[in-house]
Amino acid sequence: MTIEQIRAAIQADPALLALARADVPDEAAIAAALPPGIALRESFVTERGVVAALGVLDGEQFLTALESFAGAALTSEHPLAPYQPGIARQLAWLKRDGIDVGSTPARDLLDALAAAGVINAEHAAVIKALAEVRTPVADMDVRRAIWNDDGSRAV
Amino acid sequence: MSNTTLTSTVHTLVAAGTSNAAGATKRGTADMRGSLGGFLQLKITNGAPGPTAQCEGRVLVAHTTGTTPAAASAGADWKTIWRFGGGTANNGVTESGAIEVPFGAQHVEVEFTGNTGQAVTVEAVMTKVASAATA
Repeated sequence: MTIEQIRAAIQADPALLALARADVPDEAAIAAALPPGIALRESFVTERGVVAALGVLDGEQFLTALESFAGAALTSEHPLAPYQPGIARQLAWLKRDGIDVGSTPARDLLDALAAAGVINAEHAAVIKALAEVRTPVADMDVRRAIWNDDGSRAV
Repeated sequence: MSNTTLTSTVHTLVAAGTSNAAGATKRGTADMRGSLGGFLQLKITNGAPGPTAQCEGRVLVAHTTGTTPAAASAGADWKTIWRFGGGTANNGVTESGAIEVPFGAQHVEVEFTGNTGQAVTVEAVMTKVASAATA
């Protein structure tokens, strides 16, 4: 999170705002309460990777759901109908080199499939997390969000 | 057999307990002409919370045999010979250790600057060997 994002998050939460406005703000507690920053990295996931991440049963359910969707006879009104050929192609990649779940198209696709009920949303989140690098908010960043350089309070 | 007696004087360049506000600078100077050098110490004390950027303590000298130049940051008159940082830890205390102002330094200056977000407390004191008399 940027300093501005941390500042906005503090101001949006009365409990954090109270901590921040103490004489000696508990920077560690505020940092721990804030969501970590998430950076994406390239991460190619194959069928094996899906099973490793979700387990045998859930992994099979996830892959079967995708295969069923790719082979289903969708009506033209189905919101994901235009994407069906592309999903079938990505399924083929999943069996070979894998899909980069750090890429925006792959992540958007997983979200869309979850929203449409094709796959379990929790499963989609686990697969997407394979490409996520989480960085906790640093105490010093909280301090910089609370105080301006001139010593006045920013929140 | 002759005896040499040193005469020392104490110079407070920045008084103990001096607060350096966020974004501010505190300086002090001493005229070292004719002396045999000195022994200088600096100290930076953070509050709680500590600053968002650390205060830096600097020692500078001026190479002029004239009067002591006006206190200023490094430039035409003052040249930095040493620096240290006070860190950002809550209630952190950082002392410089022994800084020898060598024989030949004409003027010495200390400078505390750089802390943002919070004030810190600074101090600089020097014992100058003012003269040596042999009898």
